[in-house]
Amino acid sequence: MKLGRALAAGAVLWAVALPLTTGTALADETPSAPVATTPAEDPTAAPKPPAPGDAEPPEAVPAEDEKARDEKLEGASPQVRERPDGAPETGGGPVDSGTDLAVAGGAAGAAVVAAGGIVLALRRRRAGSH
Amino acid sequence: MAAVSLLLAALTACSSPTPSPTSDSTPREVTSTSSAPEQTTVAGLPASRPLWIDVPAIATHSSLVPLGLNDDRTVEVPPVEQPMQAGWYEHSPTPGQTGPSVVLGHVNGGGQDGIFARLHELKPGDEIRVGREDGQVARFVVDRTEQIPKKEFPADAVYGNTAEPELRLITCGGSFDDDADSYRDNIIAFATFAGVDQDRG
Repeated sequence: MKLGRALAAGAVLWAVALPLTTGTALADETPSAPVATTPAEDPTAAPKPPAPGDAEPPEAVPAEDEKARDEKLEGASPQVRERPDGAPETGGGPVDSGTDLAVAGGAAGAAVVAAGGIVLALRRRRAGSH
Repeated sequence: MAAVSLLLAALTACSSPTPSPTSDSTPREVTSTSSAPEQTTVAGLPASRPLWIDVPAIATHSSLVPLGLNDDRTVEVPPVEQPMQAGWYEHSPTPGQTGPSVVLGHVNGGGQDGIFARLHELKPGDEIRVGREDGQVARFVVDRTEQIPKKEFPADAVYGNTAEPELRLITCGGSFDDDADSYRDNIIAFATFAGVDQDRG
């Protein structure tokens, strides 16, 4: 009989305590989700570049830093002591090709042949007139 | 009652907060994530006159002659009769010094290809080596190669200050303007410093 009472009392207490402890357990687990996502939403993290953000190297300098660096560089004394004017002229002209030479030679040869023909024609005309 | 107490104690123990490594580690992660990216600046070398240049990707090797300014303040170039000769613009930093070091060479001359006839073939990642008088060999890696009309020559990008040692290789390109007796474009390879080797001569 005593054992039965004790078991009954235990069951009642367990039934009362179970919801309380479940709630505590749930409450303990709740913060873990935001904790896991906190680093990704950290407002102090470096700003993501607009383009393919994930593909950017981790060492990418933020735009503000780049701007400050550029301004600092522009303000410094010039590393190129004398800045040239205009663009460099580093070409002598198209390379002569064998085709060009052949065309020129052929033209010269044709001119010689034509001149010879004219001379011959003139001589024959003179010989015929006599 | 003892059994009841034991039962309660056991239940409470099961629901007690487990030591949460996640919550402990979170601040560390935040700290590491929020630390600003460090700007890695490569230290430059002291000044030392460049003696030669080697661009393996386009089978190019030349000694370097110093180049100054012409009377009209355009940059001097090597003699066009020696198209295989490259030159270093002596008013720019020496290769390996912080700043843009400028090397020029002909695309052609005297009816032959010049030292930089294949400059347009350079691709990002190709290596350029410059031997210096102090026995060090400055190594550079190509960032990009551009073909730009001479009328829009990017003087700031070529001659402007840089945070690290850089190198520009310049030649002519594009179509040839017979009237002006000049190419219409420039080919410019932009390269950044990659380290130093010792010249084993």
